[in-house]
Amino acid sequence: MSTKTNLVLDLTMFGAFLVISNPRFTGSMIHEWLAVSLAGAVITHLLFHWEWIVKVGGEFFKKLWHQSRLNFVVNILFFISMTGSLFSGLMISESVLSTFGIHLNVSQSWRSIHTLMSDVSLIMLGIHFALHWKWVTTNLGRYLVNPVRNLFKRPATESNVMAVQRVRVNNDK
Amino acid sequence: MKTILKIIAILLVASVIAGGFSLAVNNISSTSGPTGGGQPPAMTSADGQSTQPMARPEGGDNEGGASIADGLSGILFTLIKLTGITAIVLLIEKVYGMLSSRKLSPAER
Repeated sequence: MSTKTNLVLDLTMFGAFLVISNPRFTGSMIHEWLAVSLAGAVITHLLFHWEWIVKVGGEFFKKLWHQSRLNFVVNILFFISMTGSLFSGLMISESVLSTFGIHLNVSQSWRSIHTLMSDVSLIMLGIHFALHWKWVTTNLGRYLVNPVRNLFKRPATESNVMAVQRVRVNNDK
Repeated sequence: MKTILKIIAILLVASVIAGGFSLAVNNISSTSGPTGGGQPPAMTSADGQSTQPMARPEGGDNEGGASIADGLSGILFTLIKLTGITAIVLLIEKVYGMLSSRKLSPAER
């Protein structure tokens, strides 16, 4: 999978996460359905990185310490917190489950778990983001910042080119 | 076919985690007494009589509705929290990197 596709997916997920973490912005119905879509995006993200997961998972107990192991542990905790958050959200949902004709008694415990897991997910996202800081900044620069900067750069006109050449000739003299 | 198997594997792991959460909630509910953990605790007034908690008015706190101003400030607050967490982790990484490079430098040996 290309880096550009990865970046687009990751940025979309990041935006969705920000919106989902503030249900007041969208209202509960969009909050719930967007969270279901995010679950799909998480699965796609994991499929994109499947080889890494299998490789590091296989080597997990072989080496005592390396950066990938820290990444792996953080990613596992992130996955657990996201699953907990999404599942507890489903258990207290008003529109998603009722669409399928399922009506559950909303338990206060599920609400507490939803709040707790959402907070943990936010912390894990921050750590996950920091551990991939180099990748994110490099590719944001390559695929987003530089193309936008190039758009606003003045194209070199013929008179500009002539002026530059004249300066060079004068300097040579 | 391979992708479907991978998706099934991911969903399987997710179901195990969800099952763990379900067990935890069931345990909390069973240990928290007859209210089942899902009901608010019974309230008693100063003279010992039981009172009913006041019902929440429908839509009074705008829980289901959207407020763009509130939402935007919430998003901004979330971004600030994320920036703080990221900065702390990057700082720890930098300090750890500096310490380990100092340990390994030949001048120190």
